[in-house]
Amino acid sequence: MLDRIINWFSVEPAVSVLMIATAIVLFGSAFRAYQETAGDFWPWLRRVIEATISAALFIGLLWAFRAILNDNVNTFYSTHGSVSDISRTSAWSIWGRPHTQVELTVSHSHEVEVKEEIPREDPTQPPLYRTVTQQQEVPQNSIVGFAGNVNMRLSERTKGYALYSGYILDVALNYDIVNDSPFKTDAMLTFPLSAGQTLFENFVVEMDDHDISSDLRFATDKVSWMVKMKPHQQSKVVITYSSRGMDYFYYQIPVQREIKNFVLTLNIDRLPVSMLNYPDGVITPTQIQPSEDGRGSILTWKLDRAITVAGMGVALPQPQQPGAQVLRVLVISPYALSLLAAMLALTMLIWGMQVRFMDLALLSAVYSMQFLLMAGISDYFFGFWGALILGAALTLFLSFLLFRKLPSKPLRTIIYILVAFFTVIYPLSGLLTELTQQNAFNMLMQVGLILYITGLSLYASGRKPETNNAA
Amino acid sequence: MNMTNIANLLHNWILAEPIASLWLGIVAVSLFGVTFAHLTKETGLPWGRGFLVTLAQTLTVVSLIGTCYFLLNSGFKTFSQIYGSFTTGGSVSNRAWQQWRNMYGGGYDQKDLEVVQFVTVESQEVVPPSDPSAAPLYRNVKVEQPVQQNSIIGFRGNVELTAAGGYNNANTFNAYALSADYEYDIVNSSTEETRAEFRFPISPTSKLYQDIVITVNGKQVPWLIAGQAILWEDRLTPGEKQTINIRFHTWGENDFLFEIPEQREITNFSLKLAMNTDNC
Repeated sequence: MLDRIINWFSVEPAVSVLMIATAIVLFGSAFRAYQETAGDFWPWLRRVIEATISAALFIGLLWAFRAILNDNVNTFYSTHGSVSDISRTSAWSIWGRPHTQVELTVSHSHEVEVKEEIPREDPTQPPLYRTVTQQQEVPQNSIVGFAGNVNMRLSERTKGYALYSGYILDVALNYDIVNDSPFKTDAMLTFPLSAGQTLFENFVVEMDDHDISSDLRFATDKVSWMVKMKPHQQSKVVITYSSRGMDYFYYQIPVQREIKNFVLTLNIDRLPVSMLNYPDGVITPTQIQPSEDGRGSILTWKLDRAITVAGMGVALPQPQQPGAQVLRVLVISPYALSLLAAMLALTMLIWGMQVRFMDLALLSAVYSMQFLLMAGISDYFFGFWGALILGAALTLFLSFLLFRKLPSKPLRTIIYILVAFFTVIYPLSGLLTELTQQNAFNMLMQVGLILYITGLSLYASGRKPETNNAA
Repeated sequence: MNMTNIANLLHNWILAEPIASLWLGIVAVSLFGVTFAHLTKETGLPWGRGFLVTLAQTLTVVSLIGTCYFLLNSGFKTFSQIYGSFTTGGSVSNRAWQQWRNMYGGGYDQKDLEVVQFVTVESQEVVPPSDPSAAPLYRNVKVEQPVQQNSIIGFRGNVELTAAGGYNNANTFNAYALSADYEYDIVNSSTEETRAEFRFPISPTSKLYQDIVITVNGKQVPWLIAGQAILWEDRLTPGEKQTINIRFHTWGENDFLFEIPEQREITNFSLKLAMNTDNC
């Protein structure tokens, strides 16, 4: 039990301090209410017990409603955007995994006749030779130019109760290759395919404007073919295909070489520049432009006389999950309830009234109803904003009925303002996505609440005591 | 968490903040004494009840001060987690640092150019016969032998580090773009023609080199990458001198190091390192 309390203090320090402080004030207030009966020990002990029960009742009441709201969050999350590794792996196997395109490799070799000396018994005799044929590698940097154009169309995929960031790719890769040696060579061209990818369509390889599909040899995750190249012959290799993938894409030069005249353009149809992100180990583009309609991005990597084995590509953000806005509001609802109840209790106590537990319980129930209603109807009738407005309106109306008979008009007004703030404005803070913004809002709100309590205390101590302050 | 843990927590706090804990102790004892005296002597409360009430009030005050301290400390920790040093995992600076490292690599380590010159010599090799009782067989072989000489007789290096804006604030890392221009004077001081191998190591942590230009006596030479180094070859006549110029741009962070990996006589060596902080 103590562990749980300490843990709660660590997770929600502000609200826990506020609730404990409220419980202490509640205890003190309840204890003092019986002061006129002070005298013997047993009545005094009874006052202690009753005050303790009041404080415990306050804490228990809040815990119970927090448990309901936490359960509401968990239930909603389990059916709205609960991303899991199992579902993701399954989506990868069905639609396609992250697409990684490794560069074409060209290796040259040629047959040479070499004279091999025949070992002799007498070292003083002149050497004798025989001619043998060998296949020798001709090391060279054959790729002298590259122009790649990749069009990425985002296509979110649903698996389980969540959306995953799928995409469709149209790839066109143009390589300028050269046999930079003075020999006629056998050039072996190997084009790696993205490992384990589910589908390649319209796969065409052209060399010097001729379709060489019949010469292609397919093996696991690679395509290769052999051509004869004359000394200093230049050729153009064009490889086109369509494929699909998920989460991220990158193009990579696998081994260090001098990269010349390299241009890779990646067009993404529905990812604005402000949302661009890159996979680990990927270099940033040399140029970033928005697409013509402003909804997408055009990334260009232009390199010359360069060395890199880092990838070039993009990481897609997690798509907006169904019910994401509702979920973000629901997540803060237990916190909001604790704050509202604590502030309401402190307001009444500072005002000189006893806390009416029935009213507090009903307000907690009415406030919780707003979030239960949101979770229940947002999928069917009104969407996020409609559910929020309907829930808030109902909560405000019921709160009005609940406190309309309070004798003090200023207190009524203060309570209505408090309820309106926690019903309308505070839930909207859940829509803040940046951690820095969330922290700033929470800090400012804590400052506001401290100012409110201080101001209320000063106001209450300065006003005339109300006659009707009994429960 | 049991009482021992609470005692440990209290003990650690006293060690961490001795002055504050001393003052809190003094306040608690004074408050207890004054309240107890007031309740028992002036209000006439029995000793036992007075003790309990005083204890409860004192503990309440101490607890409230403690929780406020805890609250402020928690706020500080949260703030530190976001805006703390780049060594604090998850902070804004730390994320920028990780991203920079992923894209451009870490500290830059430049090792000196290595030049190895070889001469070809012919020798006789004994071929073991398949029959051990037979006479040994011989053949002539040409082998390359390295020539021991100090090939680098001069070096002029200009390195400019341009600090990347936005990252090098206090408590953050120092990212930079690097422009290097190295000029080497090379000589074949032997009396024979040599085949020279030039290896210019590239920093293992760098992710991208751009605009690499290598010239020998003003003319560009083709080069390859092998074993984490830029490699090219040339033939040098006896006494021939060459001027090699290597220029490139790359990126790094926090430190830059130029290193001569093997002991040799260093002559006419000049390395200028300029820092451009215009973006800071």
